[in-house]
Amino acid sequence: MKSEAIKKADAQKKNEEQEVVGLWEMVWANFKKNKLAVFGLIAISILILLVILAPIITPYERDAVDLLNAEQPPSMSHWLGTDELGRDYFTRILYGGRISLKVGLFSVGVSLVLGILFGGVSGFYGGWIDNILMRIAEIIYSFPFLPLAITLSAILGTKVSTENKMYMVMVIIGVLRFPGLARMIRGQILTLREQEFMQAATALGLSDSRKIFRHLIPNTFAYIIVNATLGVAGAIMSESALSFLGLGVVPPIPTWGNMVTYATRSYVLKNMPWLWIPPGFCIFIAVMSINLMGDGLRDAVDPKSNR
Amino acid sequence: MGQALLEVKNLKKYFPVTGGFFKKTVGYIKATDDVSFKIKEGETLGLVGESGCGKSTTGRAILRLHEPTSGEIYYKGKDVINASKNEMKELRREMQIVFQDPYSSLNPRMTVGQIISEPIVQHGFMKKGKELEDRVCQLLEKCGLARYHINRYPHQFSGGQRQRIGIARALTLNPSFIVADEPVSALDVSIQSQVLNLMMDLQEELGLSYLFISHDLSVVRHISNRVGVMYLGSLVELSSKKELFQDPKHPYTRALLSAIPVANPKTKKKQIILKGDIPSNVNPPSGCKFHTRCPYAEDICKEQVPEFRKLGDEHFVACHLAK
Amino acid sequence: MSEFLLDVKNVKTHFFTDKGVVKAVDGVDFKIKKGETLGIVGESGSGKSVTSMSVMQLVEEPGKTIEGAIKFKGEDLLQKTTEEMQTIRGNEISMIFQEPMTSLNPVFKVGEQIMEVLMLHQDMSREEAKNKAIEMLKIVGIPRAERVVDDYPHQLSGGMRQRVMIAMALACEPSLLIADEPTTALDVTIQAQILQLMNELKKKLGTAIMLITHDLGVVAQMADHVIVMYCGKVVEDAPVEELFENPSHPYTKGLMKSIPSLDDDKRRLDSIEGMVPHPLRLPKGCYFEPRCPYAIEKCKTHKPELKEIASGHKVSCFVATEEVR
Repeated sequence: MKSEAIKKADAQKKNEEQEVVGLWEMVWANFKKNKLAVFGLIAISILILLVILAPIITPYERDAVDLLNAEQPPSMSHWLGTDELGRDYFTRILYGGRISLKVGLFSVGVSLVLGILFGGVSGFYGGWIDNILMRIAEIIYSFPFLPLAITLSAILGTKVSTENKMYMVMVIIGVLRFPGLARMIRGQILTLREQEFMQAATALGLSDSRKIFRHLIPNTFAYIIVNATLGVAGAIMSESALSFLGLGVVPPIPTWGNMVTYATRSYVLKNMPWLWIPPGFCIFIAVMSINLMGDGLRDAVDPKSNR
Repeated sequence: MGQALLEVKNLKKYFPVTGGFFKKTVGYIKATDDVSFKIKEGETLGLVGESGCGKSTTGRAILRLHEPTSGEIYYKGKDVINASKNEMKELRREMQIVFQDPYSSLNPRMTVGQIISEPIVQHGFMKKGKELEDRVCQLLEKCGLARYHINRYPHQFSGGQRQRIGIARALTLNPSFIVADEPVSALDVSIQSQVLNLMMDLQEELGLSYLFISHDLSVVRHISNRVGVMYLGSLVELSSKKELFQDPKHPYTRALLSAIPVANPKTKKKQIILKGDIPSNVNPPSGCKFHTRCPYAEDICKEQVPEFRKLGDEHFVACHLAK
Repeated sequence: MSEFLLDVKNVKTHFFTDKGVVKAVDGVDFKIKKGETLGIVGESGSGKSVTSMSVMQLVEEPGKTIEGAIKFKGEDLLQKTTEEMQTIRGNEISMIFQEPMTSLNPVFKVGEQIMEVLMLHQDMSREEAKNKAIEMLKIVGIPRAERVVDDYPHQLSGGMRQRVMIAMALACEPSLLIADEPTTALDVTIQAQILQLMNELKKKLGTAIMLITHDLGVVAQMADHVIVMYCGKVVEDAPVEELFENPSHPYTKGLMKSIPSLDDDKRRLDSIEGMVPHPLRLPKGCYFEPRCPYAIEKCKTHKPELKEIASGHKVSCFVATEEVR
């Protein structure tokens, strides 16, 4: 009698062994179909790997000056030549990439924290809380990015060390980018909070913070990740722009942005292309591959958006 | 059956309609408009009506998922509407809800185990650990699911199974009263009967009382002891199941009963086909709200709101003409 | 031309997904006479909607009708080109759907949408088409039709929109109307109105109806002949009275027993145990075998075929056909 029941349960279980596909598995399956996105993923992975393994890949130090070998064109010993102080340019590209990518990730982290807090709280409570938080976000959103960044780094720039200036740039970029994310999260939460599982949470007497951060925010993760990915690309661009203008990260710390600055000198522009083409190319590759990957992710997360 | 477990008096829930540039309130949707009833211990009160009649709003207003506009609600004599935040948290252990949509009523990012254990932990009944896991499994098994389901996500289940998860979640805090808001409407017929049987078994075992909301008269008839019929936010008829189905007094109840297609091609019953559509509940008709569609309407129906009269034992009707 | 308006033979519509082939419709046969109503009953996933889409040739990728013949007025629709199908759709065969909100285009006036069909298929001028549209709206019982033609869909209630859909579907006086769950989204009192309307129009215009529904009550009231589908196959095929009097497939029996009835006072409902198998992991034998209370050894290994057990009554079940013999 009992074995009969067990057999039945087993058969039931077998019948239920459907593709137990989680959300991320589904996203990955969709993502794989997009050739460009996979290319982006591979390209950015290679770039990140190179940058991380910099100390192993190159024998030179980042800031090692060698005036005797200054301004050398690419050769076997210096793959991308040297700059005016004789520093190995390939090495500086790799270390510069570290800074550029770090700025990208860190500033996106800043905007994520702010965006989730602002968007989550204002979407959940609505009413006057929503009004105040969103007006603040909108004010920040309406600041023109470059003039503000220029002013801020001009005011603060003189008082802080180069190292701290780098972090300051990250925070500025992050803060200026968060309103977009906050609005997106708020929009998602406005629809999510009407779902019945939220009413169930209320009926079960769960606390507000639990409802926001355990029930609502995880349901926006897919969108947050897409937004963050594209944000990294944007932040790298912003950092490059600021550094190019000499307002971001300043030498001797190399970043791709301040390395492109060489192109402003017409002598270098004409005669030493190895000093400005490689960093420019790196920015291009990084931003393009992250964007391709981000677009692919967006389509994978929300298959309807593309049709 | 004992005394009144839940008492609802003159419950109203109006939703503001906003319009114009400054979002001024231009009117109200009178979703629930002066509804009163009682539910006894261990009893099932069915609430039927068509879409927009306010049956769901009524159910949710009782649990304060929609804050009622006015009225009184007493649960075991305790005032629900004026309960403080802490008192309400206590009350929520006793009163639970099961939803219609098996897709949107479960958080897609949480496993079944998390969904069911969360309220137990949040209310401080148990801490995470073996004991809690056992309790969750016990609830799952009680609702016809299996232990191995605990780590799965909602989308890995069929509609019927999701509904079972929803029922298990409602049982976590050992409630004695459950609002069942169209719990089987989204399910296939063969699954529908499984879930109805489960709900009746649980009622017997745990002594639950239900407010069973549905648009399907045959389902309501099957599970309820007493039935209330709603039209445009108001109760038009309330009586024991037997009387309501054998001797419906309100013309709307009669039309509703006759409109159900019977699964027998030989009984070509005479249908009362109502004219026209359900009016908007922003500007409901004057007098008796049903008079615009009522085949028997007289002048008095257009002018005076009918009283909710007692016609016989436990049989109430809001109609000027019913006898 | 045969006496049948629509003759569907052994149609197979499969969906070629990444994970495998879903046999949504797997060898379905049925016939519809002129002016007759055929009810197709089944639960979600039974393939009843895909069947209707196959007739209309509207199956979308990755689905494809790979076998069979769909003879409409003697001509095989599967052999028609896309252009030829376009002249048939909306003209000779038209369709109404479950959700009247999404099946009308929200940015066009309802009149325009009916006129568009008429101008396309019947070469009518705008003037003629508008008059015909108003006439159609009157036929489907819409009050103040002259005004409603200039309304947008959102200004109408669900029941009204379904009436507009019917008016649009019947505007070109098709000989076959496919109604896919036409009243599922409507309230009971409105459902009663729409069903009555469909019955009246059928008599008046002589349109044959292919009615797809999960509601046995609706079938009992509307259909002349019924097929019951389960997992992409027809399990029972009978005239409506015969089917309700003498349901022979265990699935049909189970369905009928599991509806709560209005005059029966049983406490517990009979229900079909278990659930519909996953379309990619169908049982080896009869698809209903895992849930069937009468299953015998043979059911686990062999697939039954439709066999006639009484005049016009066919069942696909070893046990049921065995009994008769």
